[in-house]
Amino acid sequence: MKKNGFLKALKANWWIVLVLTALTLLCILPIIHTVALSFSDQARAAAGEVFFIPKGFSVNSYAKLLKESTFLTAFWISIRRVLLALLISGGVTILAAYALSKSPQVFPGRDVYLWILVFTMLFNAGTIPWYMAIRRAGIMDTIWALVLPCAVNAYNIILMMNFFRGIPTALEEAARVDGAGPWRTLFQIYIPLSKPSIATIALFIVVYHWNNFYDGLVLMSRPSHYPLQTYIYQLTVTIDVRTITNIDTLKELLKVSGLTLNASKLVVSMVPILLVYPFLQRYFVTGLTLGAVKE
Amino acid sequence: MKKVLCLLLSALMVFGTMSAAFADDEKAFAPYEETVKVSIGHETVVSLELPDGHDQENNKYNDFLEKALNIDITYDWLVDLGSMNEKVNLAIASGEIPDVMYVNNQAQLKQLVDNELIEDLTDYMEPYLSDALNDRFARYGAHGMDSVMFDGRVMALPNLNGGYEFSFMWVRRDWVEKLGAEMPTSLEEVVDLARLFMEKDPNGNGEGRTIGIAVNSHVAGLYNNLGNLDPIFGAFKSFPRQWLRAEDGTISYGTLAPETKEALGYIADLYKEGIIDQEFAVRTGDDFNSLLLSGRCGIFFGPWWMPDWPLNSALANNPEADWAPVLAPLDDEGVFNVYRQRANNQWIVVRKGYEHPEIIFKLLSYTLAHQADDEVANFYPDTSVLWTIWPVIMTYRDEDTIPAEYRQLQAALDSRDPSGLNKEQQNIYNQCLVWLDEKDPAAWQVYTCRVVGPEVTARDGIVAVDNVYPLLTESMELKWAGLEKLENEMILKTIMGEMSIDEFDGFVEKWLAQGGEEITAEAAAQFK
Repeated sequence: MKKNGFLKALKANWWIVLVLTALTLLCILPIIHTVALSFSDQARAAAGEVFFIPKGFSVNSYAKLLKESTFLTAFWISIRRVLLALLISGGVTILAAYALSKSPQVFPGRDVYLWILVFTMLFNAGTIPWYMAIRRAGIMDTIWALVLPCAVNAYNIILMMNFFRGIPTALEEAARVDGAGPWRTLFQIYIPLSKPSIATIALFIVVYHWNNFYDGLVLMSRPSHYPLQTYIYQLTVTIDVRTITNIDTLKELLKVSGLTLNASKLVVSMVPILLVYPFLQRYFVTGLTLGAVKE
Repeated sequence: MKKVLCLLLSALMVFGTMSAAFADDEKAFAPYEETVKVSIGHETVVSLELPDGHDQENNKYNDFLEKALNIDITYDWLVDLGSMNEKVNLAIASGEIPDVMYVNNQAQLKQLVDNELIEDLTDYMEPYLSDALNDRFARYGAHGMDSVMFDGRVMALPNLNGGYEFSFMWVRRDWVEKLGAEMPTSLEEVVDLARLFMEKDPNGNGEGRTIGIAVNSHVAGLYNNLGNLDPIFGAFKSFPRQWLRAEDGTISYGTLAPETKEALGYIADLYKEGIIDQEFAVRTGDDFNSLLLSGRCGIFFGPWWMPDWPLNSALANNPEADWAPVLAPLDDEGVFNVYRQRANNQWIVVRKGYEHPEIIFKLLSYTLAHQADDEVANFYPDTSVLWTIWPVIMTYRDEDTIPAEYRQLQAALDSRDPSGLNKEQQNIYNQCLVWLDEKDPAAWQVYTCRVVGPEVTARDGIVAVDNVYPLLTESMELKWAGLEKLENEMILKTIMGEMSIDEFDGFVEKWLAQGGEEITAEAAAQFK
């Protein structure tokens, strides 16, 4: 009976199923291809024989990967970056969102702050002033350059703020009557009630910091300071042959490039995010919508 | 022609007098009395593998130089080749550049000069350029330093790229033999062979699956690169994307020539017949290489180093694959037409205001003089260290280094006497013997790349057109991108039959009208 219902639904909505299947394949096939490449024989991969099934199964590239200290360093930098960002960016977001969630009567000048925040969402000065500001701040080529410039994310703060505003003011008043100050109210009332949205923001921060390669490229001055995605970008970017100055350089590139090795690096770099997702995902959908509707 | 000769002579004279003044080489190698600090912006390779505790910044090579010259080297930045442009652009935009910086792009060099960010090196040339380096430049003749001269001043130190890295034909000799065909020489024979490969399917991968000639999307005019059709254009005496100097000294752009029209018409017919890879317009990198390695194609064009890459894994895929170079196609007169490589494509500059601009001459001279020392070779005996580990180093080749080194190597192999070879070449010599005597497939790559490929460049009957590389002009900065797009579209569309060959003349007019005429005039002015 149940099965029949499913088939019926399938029949009625066949085109939705078709579109969704196509979209799913579009997302998952490149990943399968990469995994297949990473387990293939180097020469057969270069000959373009590998699609979705490894040809000439080999774990050589993973063995090589473990010996590559630059890769491991980059991996560790990315982990540290994400943890630092969670702490700093997460803390700043919660504190700012809490203050901004108060009404202008409680927080004079709130609207001015909010507008300044929104302004940064709409306009920015561009790459070069950004670069120069960071350079002058003296944090170039340190992990702080990866964490501090993007610590305040207006989008996250507004999301969080809206969520805080959804918490009944009666709770806050009750806390005040019982003698709780703003800090205590935040930590014992607001934060415990906001786990879903905090998880959401945390996920945003983790994913942003894990995947961002551009700031590493521009702000770090040596490969040993690259976060993982910058390192991987360097390996997989299609090098414009016109930038190759001579055969010596080309040969150097050959020594480090290799379809299968690069593929294995990509696969390994996906793992941490894949591990984090299931833990946070149950909060994810509720977190996004919870703050959207206010009483 | 006379003018050219005069120019060349006067340049040689300048260098001649310069070398006379360079009699004492000591200054180039003398250590500083007090330790001098220098910060460097350099390119590197992301995964450089050195023993623990050693990296690009701290290693025996740096220590060696620091001790020899009494200097203290730090790196402002070390980035991968792929992000060099980005890094240099930001350095220029922010006006803060390292004491010594690499530049890989002529437009950036011009920006550095225009913004007065770099030091004038003219006065340091004479006392600090080592004799060895001076000889290099002198041998290269007039155009060796063209790219660094701004208003008669030397603003950077260039590399010397060498020549003889033009494309010629690479063919699956095992297929030719299997089908009982002959190695081709004329254009017609090349095309006939491609046709035969397509019909007879010598690799047995199925009817109609063999591609006649593999081509990538650049099509032509990219020197020292594979997958182009330069030799076919050359057979028509056409040199697309090159600036050509006629005998009377006039400068013209090769794409506009009637010979190019003729060649494009011919290639369009080949495409229509299916001989040219039907997907060439989207072929790049790995995708292109996979055609050669999987046995789907038996003919392509590329320079001498093809066996090093991408053909290095050809044998691993198929032990029968026997890629061989052929000097083809020749033109009606039996000549193989090529164009010359740009002399400089990398530069070292010194920050304006840095106290010791001569340091780049010292670093470079010392490195070049000692890089082959036994002591240096044994710094890291277990790892293959890449040459970019040196803080300041660039390629210095004579124009004919490739054929000259081949001749040396061949002579040694013939007489089985490697005593005249330098260390690196002796290494190559030994591996060549392994191939010749034991046919060990592992040695195929070295032998084919060092002997078989370069042998082609050493043959008679190769004629280089007089092409020139003008410096970036004002109109070029503004209009070149647009013209290049127009040109690319025309070449791709004509070959693919979307544009009839009759529209070629319209393209020429349009190109000239949209700024090409101005640019040509500006370029010509540089060679008066």
